Amino acid sequence: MLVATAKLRLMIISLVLAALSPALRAVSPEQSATLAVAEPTPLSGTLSSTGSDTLHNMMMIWRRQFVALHPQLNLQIQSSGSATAPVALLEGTASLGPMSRPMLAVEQERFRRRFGYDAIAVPVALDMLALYVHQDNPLRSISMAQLESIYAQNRLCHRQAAIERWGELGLAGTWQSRPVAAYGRNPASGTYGFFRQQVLCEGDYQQRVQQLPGAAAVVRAVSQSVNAIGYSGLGQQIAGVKILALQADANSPALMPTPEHAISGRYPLARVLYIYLNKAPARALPAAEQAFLRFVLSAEGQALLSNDGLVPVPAALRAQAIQELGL
Amino acid sequence: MTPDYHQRNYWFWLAALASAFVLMLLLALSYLMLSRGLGLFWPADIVQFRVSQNAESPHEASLVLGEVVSQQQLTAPQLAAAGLTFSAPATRILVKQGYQPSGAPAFRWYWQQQLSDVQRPPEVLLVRHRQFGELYGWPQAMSEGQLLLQLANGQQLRLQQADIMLQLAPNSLSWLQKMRWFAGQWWSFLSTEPREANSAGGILPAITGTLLSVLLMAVVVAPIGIMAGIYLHEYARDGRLVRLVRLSVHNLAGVPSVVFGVFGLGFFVYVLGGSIDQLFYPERLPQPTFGTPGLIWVSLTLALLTLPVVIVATEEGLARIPSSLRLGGYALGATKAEVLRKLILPAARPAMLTGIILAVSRAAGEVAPLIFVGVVKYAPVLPLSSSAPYIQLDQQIMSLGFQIYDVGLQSSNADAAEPRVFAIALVLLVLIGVLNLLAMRLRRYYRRRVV
Amino acid sequence: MTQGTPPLSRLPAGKQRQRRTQQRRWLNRLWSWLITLAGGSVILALLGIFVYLLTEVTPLFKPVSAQPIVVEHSPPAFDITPAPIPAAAATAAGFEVAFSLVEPLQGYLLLAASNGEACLWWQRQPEAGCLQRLSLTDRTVNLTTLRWLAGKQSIVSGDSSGQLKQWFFLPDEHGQLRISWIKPFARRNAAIVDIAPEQGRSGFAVLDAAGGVSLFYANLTKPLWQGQAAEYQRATRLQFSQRNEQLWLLGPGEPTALQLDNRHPEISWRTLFQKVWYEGWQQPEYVWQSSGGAELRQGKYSLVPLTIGTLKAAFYAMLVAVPLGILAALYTACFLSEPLRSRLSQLIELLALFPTVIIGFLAAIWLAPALEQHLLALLLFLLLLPLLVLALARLWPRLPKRWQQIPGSGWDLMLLAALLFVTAYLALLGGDTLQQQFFSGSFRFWLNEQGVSYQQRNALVVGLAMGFAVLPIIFSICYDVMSQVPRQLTLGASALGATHWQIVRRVIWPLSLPGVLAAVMLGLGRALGETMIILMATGNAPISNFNLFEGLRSLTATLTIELPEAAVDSSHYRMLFLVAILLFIFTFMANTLADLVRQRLKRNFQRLDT
Repeated sequence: MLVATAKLRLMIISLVLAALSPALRAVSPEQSATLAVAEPTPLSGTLSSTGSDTLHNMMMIWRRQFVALHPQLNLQIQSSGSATAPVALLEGTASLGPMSRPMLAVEQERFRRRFGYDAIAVPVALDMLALYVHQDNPLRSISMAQLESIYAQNRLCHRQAAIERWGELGLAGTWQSRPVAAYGRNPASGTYGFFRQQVLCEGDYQQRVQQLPGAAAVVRAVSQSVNAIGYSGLGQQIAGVKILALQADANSPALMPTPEHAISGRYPLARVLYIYLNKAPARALPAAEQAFLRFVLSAEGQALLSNDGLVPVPAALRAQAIQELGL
Repeated sequence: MTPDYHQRNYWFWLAALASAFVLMLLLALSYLMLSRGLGLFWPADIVQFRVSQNAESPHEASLVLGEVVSQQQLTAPQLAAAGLTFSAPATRILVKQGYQPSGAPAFRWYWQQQLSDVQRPPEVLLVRHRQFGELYGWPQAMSEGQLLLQLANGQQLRLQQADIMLQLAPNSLSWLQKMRWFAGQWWSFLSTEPREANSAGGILPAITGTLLSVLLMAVVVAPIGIMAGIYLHEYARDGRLVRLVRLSVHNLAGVPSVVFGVFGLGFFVYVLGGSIDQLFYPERLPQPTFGTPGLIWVSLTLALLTLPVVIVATEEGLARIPSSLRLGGYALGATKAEVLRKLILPAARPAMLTGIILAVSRAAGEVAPLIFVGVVKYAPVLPLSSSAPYIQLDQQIMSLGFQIYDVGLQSSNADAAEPRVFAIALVLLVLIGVLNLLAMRLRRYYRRRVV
Repeated sequence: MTQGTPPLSRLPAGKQRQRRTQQRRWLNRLWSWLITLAGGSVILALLGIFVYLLTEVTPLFKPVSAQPIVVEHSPPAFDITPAPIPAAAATAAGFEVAFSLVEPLQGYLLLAASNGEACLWWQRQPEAGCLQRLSLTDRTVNLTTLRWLAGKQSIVSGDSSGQLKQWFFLPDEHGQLRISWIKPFARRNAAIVDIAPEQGRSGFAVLDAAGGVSLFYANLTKPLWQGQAAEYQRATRLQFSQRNEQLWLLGPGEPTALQLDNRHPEISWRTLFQKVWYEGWQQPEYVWQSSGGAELRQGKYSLVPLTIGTLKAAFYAMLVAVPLGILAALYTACFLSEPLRSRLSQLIELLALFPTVIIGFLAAIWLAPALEQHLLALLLFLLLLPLLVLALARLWPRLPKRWQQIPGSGWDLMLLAALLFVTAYLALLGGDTLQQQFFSGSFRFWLNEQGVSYQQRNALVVGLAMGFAVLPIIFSICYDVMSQVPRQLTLGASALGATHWQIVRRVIWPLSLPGVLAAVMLGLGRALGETMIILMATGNAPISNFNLFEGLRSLTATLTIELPEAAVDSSHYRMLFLVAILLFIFTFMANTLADLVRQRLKRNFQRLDT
């Protein structure tokens, strides 16, 4: 079974519906998605993972628990951005490709040309991008249109005027004339691409948006600069910053990034995080990969997600992934 | 010459000030690194206080327990801009509260104005737990391998002794006990592997990775560098070729290290590694063996990078050997190769060693090129094995320099990670410093001996 | 292998001896080969790096080629029936609609008549009628095609005179979307028959009535490739294959096709170094924005912002390092005596040991916020320094004789360091007070209000941090050169009655000037290639200006953060190799210049010494 990315997006939407509708919820009871973790035979060998920076911590947490089950197994994790995952899978330098966005058609295309089939996407977590400002910033919420006006060069979505000062976001007093210092990620990161897709409608970033090489670096920079705003994963929160509520459009309320809002789909910057695999349709996954994914998708593995500010994947989506992988 | 200090002018004082400034910078930087780097493991006092958001109702105040990490003073305009009504200047403190079962962040800012009842209770424990990380609380009961810990919010946690890695009551420690704890912490920092996404635990894999890669590099670079140095000084006649070689050496020294990384990735990893895989490991393809970033490529890239260092040091060492030694050898009928091997090389050995040590110390601090060719965030398994070939050349490694970059910019627990960066940086600095001192000693030793 | 020289008493017999000599000769020759080889390998390494980088880059500039091929299977049918036009729009336009295009994000509709008359209509304001009326042709000729380019951000129109024009949707000063004429493409010889957009990138193919086929790219006005054949005249429609590798010419007869080799159309010398008017932008700009993994998206690769960033960082770093390095070397080499002299020089050279990743980290987490808060204090410090020099130079000679002996003894450095420390402290206090009193608490926001753009992670931070990294190189070379000035010259000058300062000024300084120059060049080379400091301490925003208070993005940092993500052999990957070559060339120039100067200097000293 191949999972095309478009299909996956559809799946997510249907799942969001599933989570909302009690009738559908009944068909996906916990046990359908729960897998036995206990592995009788300890595995050995090397498993390497290259990809998303956003998933790095989570991979490390999973790794810690997983390696406890299989002490002989060497799991290496390299996380320099989602764009590194397809390259690594393609070149075979890694067998797990954690990504914070679905693979692009170009990337799938390249993969298909090499192997003759698509890379498989396994949804492993839900993540939310949070908008961070300095703790002394009185602003409480921001809208998608305002965000676009801050970050975008050509503002394709809302076609509103560019925002350069905090006063234009409604702040008064000394804030009126303070410039907005926008921080973001470097292009290798899936977060960069996701933000561009959701907020900028695939437009271009302003040239003066600062690109920092690391999810934590963005939050840290915001905590040190009183007039800054930055986007990063929810799990990156530190002491000196404040998270803004986000308003999807003029008619909806401003929402904080909470698990409920992620699952209901009302928080506009929620996304699915994946692990991509190179699996030939006919062949089963190698034992190590299989065991790892089984662990990640198990109730235990999903329960670990909250340690990193992530949200478990809805049960039905998980069940589907398990079925796809033949676990 | 006897300096004449009676005539001075502005330029003199400017130059003197510049020297003093550089000196001051060096001292300040060393002090900063030492104090911040060493401070990480010094047991800080645990403070207990009450916080009230609302000054009128002190009984609603919540209890907080933790270490004060830093503080900040805000001026009146800053307070006004933040919409706060404290009288200026107001101070806020960053408190490390440890694990919070409610999911609240481990670090938090508190306003000094809102604190009351600040104490340092002696019985408070700092517990490092395998799953929760660091916890602060009052020990309630200890029984059958279990510890009952009461947290600041009143919640009680039952912790298995087996999951507790460390526990300590820092407020009641004597200076000597603190010292011992400090040493123990450093030891475990240097000898264990990292935990919690590099934001806790030790840096053993990074140290080994750094050392292994530079040692391997030394093995590669030493023969080539030394021979090239010999060529420049002993064999080459003053001509166009020598000038070209010399120019190449200087340019190789000047090429930005990141360009070596680009070359390493493109040529070593993809071209060379890819070919090796096709020739020797075709059965494993498409899973590459050497066609992927790894230890060997790190070492080769570093070798290319440090080649000029070895060459220059060798040449310098050879230049210090009196030519009478050579002439004597020739007079006895020895061939050039014999003179070189029996007379010159032994005499120049310390110089070459210096060159190699300098190359190693230069390589140990490199980061940018290594990101491409095989240094990763996390690879806890050492590239060593007990059976032949003992070193896994194709394995990815961790390195100290990259750890600084990674923990500094990418660790999600940024508040906890920052002090660690200083500690890692200190380790790296000490490593490089020791190597350089060694080189300096060696150089002085052989200078004295040869002259 | 020969085992040392045997004792004389047991000299081998003649033949054996001869063989031994032979052996020794061979060994000698082998050694000299090996060693020459090792020497040559250095050239080889440098050349190898350059050539390899070059081979990765050259495909970027390969001219486009196209070969007619036999069509094996006919192309997938594609739907050309235009979307139905709302009646309101048709009435608003008031002409017979020949072409219509829908803007996907907002729902704008562009309607055009065959004479080129066009009307922009918006479904959200149907009652407003045509928001804009314009003519897509010169009215004397007929509009023959109108097409979106991939990504639906720009439109290309073709007319019966062979003119091709590009149009963007751009907001005017009221934020109202307008169709704007951007640029003409090179004119075709006959009427345009069809335009086919490439898939996923902004290229297009044009078919004209004379059977000419040409390939264009949105950034360039000239065609990338053009060809003409009689059989193409029969075609009425063009279509690209999935990966833009084939171009089908469809028409009433047998379909024909062209096999294209056009892998990197978005890159040309023009786009690398000139302003390009990208889709959706208000005006032409230098833009570096790699695709970062998005579909329907062309990387925007202008080397200008990166080059400016690198030069800017290097410039400010040199501004810090050069004066400090040279002055410190001058003082250490000329005014201190052993053993203090070598001790101090070793101490300063210790600075070179600080790995740049540590300096970069400190700059990012400590220096950048501190500077933002105490910028005024820094300015004040710079202002107080000359005063300090003035005061020292004036006051010192008036001190008691015994005190005047202090300079050069090492104590003076301690004293000066203390003085500097006090000055810095005063500047800090004064700066903060001034800031409170006159700049409403923040000098940096005050600067903003004066129209000076200030970013926290700016060139000043990089200049200070990187200056610090470059300083030891400049210092150590200057120091070496100055202390190697032949002694008989200084002694001679002294014998002729020159004062110490005169010797420094007239003998040491002019002689070591070339060495100082070499030191500066080497320092520059280092600054151009420095990576970690810039990567960590700046915001990597690709801004093309030299503002001290704004950030920058350097060639080196770009390589570090983008190369791991780039797919092998993609345009992006090759572009990054081009960036590496550029760096290589920059540093090569700086180093070669330094090398030439140094070799000349060496000869000079040798001449003077004998």
